[in-house]
Amino acid sequence: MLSFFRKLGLGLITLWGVSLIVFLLLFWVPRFGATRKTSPTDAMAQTVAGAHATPENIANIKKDLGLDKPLPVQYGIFMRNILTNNLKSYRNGDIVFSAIARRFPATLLLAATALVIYLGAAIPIALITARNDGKWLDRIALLLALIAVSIPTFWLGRLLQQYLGYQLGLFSVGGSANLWNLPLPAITLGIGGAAYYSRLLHANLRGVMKQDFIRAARARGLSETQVTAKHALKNALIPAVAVLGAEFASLLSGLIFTEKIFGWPGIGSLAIDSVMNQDVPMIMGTVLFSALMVVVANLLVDVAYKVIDPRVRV
Amino acid sequence: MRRFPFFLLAIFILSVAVAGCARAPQPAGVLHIAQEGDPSVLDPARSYDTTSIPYTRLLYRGLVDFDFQSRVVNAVAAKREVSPDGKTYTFWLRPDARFASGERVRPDDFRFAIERVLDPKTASDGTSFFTIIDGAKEWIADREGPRKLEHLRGIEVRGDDQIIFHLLQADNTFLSNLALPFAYAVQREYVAKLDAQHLDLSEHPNGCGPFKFVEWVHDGWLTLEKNPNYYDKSLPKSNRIEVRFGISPTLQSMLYEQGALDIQQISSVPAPDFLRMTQTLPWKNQVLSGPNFDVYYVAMNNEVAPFTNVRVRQALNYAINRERIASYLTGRVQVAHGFLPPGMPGYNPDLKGYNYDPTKARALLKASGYKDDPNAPIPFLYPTTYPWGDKAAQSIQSDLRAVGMTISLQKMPYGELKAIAGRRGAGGGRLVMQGWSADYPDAANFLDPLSNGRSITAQSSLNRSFYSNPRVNKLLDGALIDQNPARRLAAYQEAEKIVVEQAPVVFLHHSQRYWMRQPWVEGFQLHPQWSSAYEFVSVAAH
Repeated sequence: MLSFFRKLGLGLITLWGVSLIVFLLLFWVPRFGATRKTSPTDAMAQTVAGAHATPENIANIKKDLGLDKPLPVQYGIFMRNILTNNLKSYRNGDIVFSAIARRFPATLLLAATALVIYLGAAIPIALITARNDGKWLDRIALLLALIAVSIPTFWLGRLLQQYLGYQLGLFSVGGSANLWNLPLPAITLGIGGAAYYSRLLHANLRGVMKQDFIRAARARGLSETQVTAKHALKNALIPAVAVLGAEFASLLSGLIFTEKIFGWPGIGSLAIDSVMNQDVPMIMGTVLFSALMVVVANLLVDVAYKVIDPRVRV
Repeated sequence: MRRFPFFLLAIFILSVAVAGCARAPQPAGVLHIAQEGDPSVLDPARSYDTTSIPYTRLLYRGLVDFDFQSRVVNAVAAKREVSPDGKTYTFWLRPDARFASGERVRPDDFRFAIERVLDPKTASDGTSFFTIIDGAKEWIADREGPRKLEHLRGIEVRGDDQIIFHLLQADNTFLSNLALPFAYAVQREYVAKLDAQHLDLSEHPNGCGPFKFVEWVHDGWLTLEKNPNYYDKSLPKSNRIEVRFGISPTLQSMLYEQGALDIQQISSVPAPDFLRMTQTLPWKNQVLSGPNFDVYYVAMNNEVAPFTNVRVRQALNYAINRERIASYLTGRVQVAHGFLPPGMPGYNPDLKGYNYDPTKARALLKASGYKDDPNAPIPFLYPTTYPWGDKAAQSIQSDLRAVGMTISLQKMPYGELKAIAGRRGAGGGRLVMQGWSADYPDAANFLDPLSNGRSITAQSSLNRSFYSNPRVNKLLDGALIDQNPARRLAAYQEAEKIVVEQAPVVFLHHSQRYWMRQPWVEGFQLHPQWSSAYEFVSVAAH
């Protein structure tokens, strides 16, 4: 239990570190689109003021937002706004974490469905290929997995959208977050993950299948299916849980390309829109949210380890 | 583990059930549209761009509006009168106009809207449209400082239904200014209530337009519903509008073709999609197109050599191949012969512009005595915001090199380019590519800012060629106050003719807009002023 709290503390330190790095990158280093003539804070004030703003408007906005203050003071304001949930979008005044929370259900639905596709495809494939290790079926699966892992998501997404959605009309091409629009983005995300995960499980299963307790299970007269699915799979899943946790965290923290391609209004598309609109607080919010998801996922993975195998010390 | 096959079976059944349902069911009476960008605001005082205006005008209404023939017609005003000297405008309000929240629209709501625009705290882009009102400058100064004045002197409210505007001088564009979103009715008490709660009107709109606000998730979606309190009971024709944001033009085209969108703007879709939709059946029958009230041009600084010489300016107009630039936009533009676009009152179809003639350009440059120095090229600035900007700039560079002028290309963000282009003298631009879109359909809105010497300022000059011709200035100033419409238009045409001859800029093109509407959509027309007028659109069952 003490170890859990230690990890929680480390997670909080990680989040603080991320906040500091993001702040310095955005406030200290000149930003995209801005030339040396425009300071980062001027460009931020311009974003708030709009294209028609006068230099006086920009100066007033800088003063109101504290952008004219020294960098450490600005960081203090930024942290205070985060902790009091008062970090607001420069573009539309939306409270950043409320905007993220509004979009979280859409991203969670997509990520969870993609994860179901991951597991739904990866576990049976891994079981079959482990039983046929080294045979043609395994080799074909390996080749297909390599191809699936190598295809960039944004290309696969456009491909599925174009052919399965637009040309064949089998699925909706996207446009909003609902069940009709769910299959194609979920498949896009699921394919690569399933391919990767099936090979990982396959490798784990191969190692487990050589162990004594498997031989013992066979000696007890259990069928090969029972041996693989019941005894080997559970043990093979333990190291794979860590990867699964990290994968889910990365899915939750923003399915940037997939959400944008399919017009899925989740956190990924929010992140991309905030970058395109140079909305600094929103960029910070989405990055911090990603970091939070990774920290939370790591903690959950530790708990999951403990549940799957009580011998593991967390 | 035994349940696993059932789980897989459930996934399979779900997939089969969903497959084949390419889109969600679309009920009648609901208009579905999508666009890439989110509206900047839904506050009339700050609605000054093409992303905000279409939705702000659905939620709010003004005393007057533009009809489909670009005429100013009464909206919330039942009747209006203009004094013979053109300095006093009186309006009587309709008794049945109500806000979405149910309260009656009163004259003070219009006075408050303009007082709010003129308050520097609002940071409205519309201030310059109302400084012609008597007392406006004092009001602005008061709002910046003591805040002692109760109201703007030049706006008088009488009783429950009368509002009178007193102007400093006659101005024919004033009615058009009142038709802009800046002058739409805003309820004083409602804004005070929002202010007390630190809430923004843009996020909580309450207007007297044909639709009422339901929900807006930034960069996600906007939902509007029919306003039962709207004074014209025949409008709107739809019960609900659902707008999706963050949808790329390519995805919009796919959604339209699948029937998930009822209306789509195709002006900015990729060229292959544009050509397919405008040239093949069944899509080409669903296309509507019309001119945009804009002009794209290259401003030459008329106060700085070599552009002080009219021959050099004319040479550039002959040297640049506008047709080639138009081809980069898949023909979605019309080559410009002057400032005024087709369809704009005062547009002169017989105006002789400049054709592509490099030989003539070379001769004019030679006659001007211009000496090119390839080691000191003239900087040519163009904005990052034009998707066609790189190709056009390279084409212009190549055309000018062919006639003996060397330029260097400098691409920059629009805000920065605007600041340089509007700066007079040292530190300003010499050759700057940019555009101008009309605020309202009146020739004054093009020729005054772009070619009247009065529009030249030291910083943020609207006249970015710094061109000033006494005859043109006189014609434009006279037309602004002339009460005779025919004489006004003749003055604008004469002024534009002189401007074109003097060539203060290189006239490039006017953009065209293209929209598509599904066969089940009725009442959709291109509005000359507002890109869209969704209140007239009905959606049948399909």
